[in-house]
Amino acid sequence: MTETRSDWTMGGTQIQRRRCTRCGVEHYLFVAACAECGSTNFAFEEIRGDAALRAVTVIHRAPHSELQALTPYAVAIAETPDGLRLIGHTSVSSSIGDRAAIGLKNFGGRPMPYFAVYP
Amino acid sequence: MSTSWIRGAGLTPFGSQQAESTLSLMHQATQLALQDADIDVTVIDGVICGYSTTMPHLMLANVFAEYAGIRPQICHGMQVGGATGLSMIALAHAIVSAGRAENILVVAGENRLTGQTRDMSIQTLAQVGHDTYEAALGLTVPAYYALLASEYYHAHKITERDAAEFAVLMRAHAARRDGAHLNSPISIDDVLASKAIALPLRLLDCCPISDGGAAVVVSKSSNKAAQIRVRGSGQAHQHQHLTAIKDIDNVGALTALNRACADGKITIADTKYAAIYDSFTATLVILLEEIGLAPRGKAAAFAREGFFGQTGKCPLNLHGGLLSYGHCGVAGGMAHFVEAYLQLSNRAGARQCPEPDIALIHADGGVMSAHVSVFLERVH
Repeated sequence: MTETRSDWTMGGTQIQRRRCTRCGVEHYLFVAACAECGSTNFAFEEIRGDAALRAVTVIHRAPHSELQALTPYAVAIAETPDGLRLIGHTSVSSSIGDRAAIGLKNFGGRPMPYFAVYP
Repeated sequence: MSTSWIRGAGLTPFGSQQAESTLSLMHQATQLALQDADIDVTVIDGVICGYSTTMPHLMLANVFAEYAGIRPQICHGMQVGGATGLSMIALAHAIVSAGRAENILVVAGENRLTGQTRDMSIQTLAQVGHDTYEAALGLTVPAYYALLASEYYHAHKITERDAAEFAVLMRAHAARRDGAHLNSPISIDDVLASKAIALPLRLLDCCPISDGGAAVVVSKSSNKAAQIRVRGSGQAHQHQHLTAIKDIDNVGALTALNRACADGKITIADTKYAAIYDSFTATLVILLEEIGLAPRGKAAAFAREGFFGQTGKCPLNLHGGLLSYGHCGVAGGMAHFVEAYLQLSNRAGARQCPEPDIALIHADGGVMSAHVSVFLERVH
């Protein structure tokens, strides 16, 4: 557990969550204050292990031509066993309810969260 | 009793209007609204306007006021995504009810279709997602809503065929509304055969990108022809980003509605006409079911039974909604309000539904992020 963010969004190799040190609620998106209790103190820790896919879309119309070349690609919202929801790429053959391993994988030349579905 | 009245409203045709700009579309709608309100522009003492993606400006309301020959004492621009139109009405209502202005012009317009390339429009709108965590994944607004739809449909056993009911219904309604962007009839099979955008959403599950404008005058005094007042309003803003949604069955729509009911001392069962935001078929399904106009998983069945038709128990978006009247941004959301106002005023012509006295208008902005509910009432 660390007090500063050092994950993939900052060029690191981890995916991190931030836990409010006052009320214990966890946040995935970077926020400056906890909406549950107002605290501005967070501890950062790595998200590892498995998650279950809760929402999946397969994108056929990309926002621009560079990404259009990569279509179809799939994006999912996944939930960790302790209830944290995060967003990342996944396989186009994945379905809601699938279990996946949380990791990072390049998309469009940059590492991003990827949920590798177990066969 | 402090209240505010809808004095008049104006709506331009939506679709492709190559020769128009943000300001000219706002002005067209303003002129229609002033004419409808039967007031001179000189009595407008407040201007509240919505953003335009084709004309980002530090002070659009002031730019527009100057353009339209208005010197208001209150002048605001607002940005609440798709909920901007209703947020502006709610704010105008609060200001007029408090006695701080007498005639507020609420206005929006945008040449979203012809004022920029399609890719530019899609990329600008995609910024409603988180730049680092969401938009960077190659997501678009349809993709954000597709994620919502996939989870919601799965939880409530809703099929793509079910949701397609609303694309067909909105198109049928638009056929009776002059000025609609899309008015050729479509079938469920057409929707299911249309090209994949972000599954489960296909092209005909998505609203078009349009040019257009809308304006509403919120006043201290009513229009002589029809007395329509704001009965109550409520809002909820629980998150901004899709990934921050904790519960797909509690995105804020019901909270906003409950606040509007408490404000207006009214219940949803009093609703005789519904104007619900419909950026995608999935948007409409989720909103109808969370606010309780249909039970969970049953909105499509209600649509099939005619519940939301012109002569149904709760006529819905009789102008054709964003899905078919069209979507030019803030004015797209205001078109729902204008239609509710016309229906309550008994001035909707061939698409008039039987004597509504209470209308519910609900909009969401972002990705189910901002919710505003407003009840309008016809006073006899």
